[in-house]
Amino acid sequence: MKEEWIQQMRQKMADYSQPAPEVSWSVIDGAMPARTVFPLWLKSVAAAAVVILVAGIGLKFLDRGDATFDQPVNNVIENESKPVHEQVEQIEYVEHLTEPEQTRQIEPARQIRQSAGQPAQTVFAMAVTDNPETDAVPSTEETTERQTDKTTEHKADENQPQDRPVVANPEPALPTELYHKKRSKESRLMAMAYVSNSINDSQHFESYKTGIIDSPNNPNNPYTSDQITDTNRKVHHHQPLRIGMSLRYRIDDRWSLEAGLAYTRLISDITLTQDGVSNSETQSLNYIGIPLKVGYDIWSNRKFDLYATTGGAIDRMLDYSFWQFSVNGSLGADYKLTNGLSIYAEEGIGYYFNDGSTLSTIYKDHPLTFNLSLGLRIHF
Amino acid sequence: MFFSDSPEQRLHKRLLDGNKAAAREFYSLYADYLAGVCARYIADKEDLKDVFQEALIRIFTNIGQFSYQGEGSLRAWATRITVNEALKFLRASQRRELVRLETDIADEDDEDDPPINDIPPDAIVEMLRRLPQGYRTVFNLYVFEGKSHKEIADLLGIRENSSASQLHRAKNLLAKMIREYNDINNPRQ
Repeated sequence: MKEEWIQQMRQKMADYSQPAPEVSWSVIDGAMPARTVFPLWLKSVAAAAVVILVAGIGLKFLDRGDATFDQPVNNVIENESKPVHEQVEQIEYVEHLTEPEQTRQIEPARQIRQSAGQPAQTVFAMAVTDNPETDAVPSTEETTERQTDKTTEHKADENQPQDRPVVANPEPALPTELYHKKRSKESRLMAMAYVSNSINDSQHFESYKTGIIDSPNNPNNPYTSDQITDTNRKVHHHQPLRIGMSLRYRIDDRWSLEAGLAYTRLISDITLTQDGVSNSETQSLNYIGIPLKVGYDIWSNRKFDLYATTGGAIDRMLDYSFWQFSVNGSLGADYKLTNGLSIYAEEGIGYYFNDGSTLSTIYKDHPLTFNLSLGLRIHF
Repeated sequence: MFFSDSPEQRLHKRLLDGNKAAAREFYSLYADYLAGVCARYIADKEDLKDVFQEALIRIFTNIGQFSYQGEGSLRAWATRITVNEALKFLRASQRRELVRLETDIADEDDEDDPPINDIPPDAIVEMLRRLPQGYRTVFNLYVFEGKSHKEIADLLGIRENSSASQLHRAKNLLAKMIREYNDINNPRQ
């Protein structure tokens, strides 16, 4: 049989059709996927709830993160009675003094400790651990990890009542002023570009039964004995890739707002096996989204900035008309390369709401995901 | 590309939404074609009706797994689902025949590729439906679905050389039918 004849045959039959048989629409309609209707107001309420939940889970998770760090850190959380910003100011001040750092740092740290009536060891540990970051440039990953732990500690502190009596500071005026001076010199507007990735890709396998057909007209149809068929579906989601640009505006010393534009690409390999017959598809979904964030500066010095953000994003699927809503909380570390330029890393946890489609996406299979962003920031 | 959807893409989105009107639109656009696909595999009219309906259900319930890859990709995907449904039916109801055919393969002289220019598609489908089940299935998969003998063997649970032999026999039988048809309808040839 010649290839030419096969082609001729194929061409002749390419559009062959014949009148389709009547079908039972009640059966077909019953089998169609139902769209879940999720009112918008409920989404907002859920989003707010999830932000709180996610922040809580994130902090708890990170708190458990590094056992060796936990010891001194916990002491600070439990025992330190001063409001967190005063502690930070003290440390800021310490680091501005350029003389032999080790001794200098320990000195004021002890003073804080004494004023708060606690063993000196605790803050000593803290001051020393802060030290390497002021001169050496650790790798971004290390920085994120280490600073993340400290963030937890500061965050936890904030949860404590703020109206406790403040113990008199041995040098009250200087550090506060220095802190504010430094801040006021900082630019209020920043532009950034970043790449973000979720930490794991995902593979899952599911078996289900489909196609329960009711055929009352033909009960003896041999096919009805095979009404329920097995379907195996294997889905491999690649890591989502998100690239974006955004602007951050600093409202005051600590708070900032961020808005931007992001492009996201999701790739999944889907293999559907029906009774031993496999069909493979590669699903590629593209999104353009608007992330909105509120940022809070936890700690900073000349070179480093440690902050937390929380926010949400609305992403529009470009391939099909669905909206993807998500909320995200993250901890970030920023390192200034020059006055105008810095690099940063953000470790985040996000929750993705069901988009109402029947599409299989990594967001649907793993609504709660961790992600890591790396980016560049320009300070105006 | 992102913002201007083709009609097929828009239909796909509505099907993803579970839109029932979209299902009827799909039927009006593709049902006759898919019925034609079924007809190449399934000889009996009642069986065809059942397979066809099951294929439609399969298409609508699995629409989430289809990814749009250009104009015509929805029809191509729906065709694959339909062929799978037909094969599933054939495996379930005609297993015995496939097994029998596997054993009675003998070498046969090769017929020339018969001219098909003057034969309408309807007549070709009628000839295909007169072929024994196993020959017809292999012929369909090889010629129209573009499967290899290895793939056909996997799909039907037969040996690879059995697929080749059945194709050969299907083609010879078809060639005879085509010659007869041409003798009656186009006596000049």
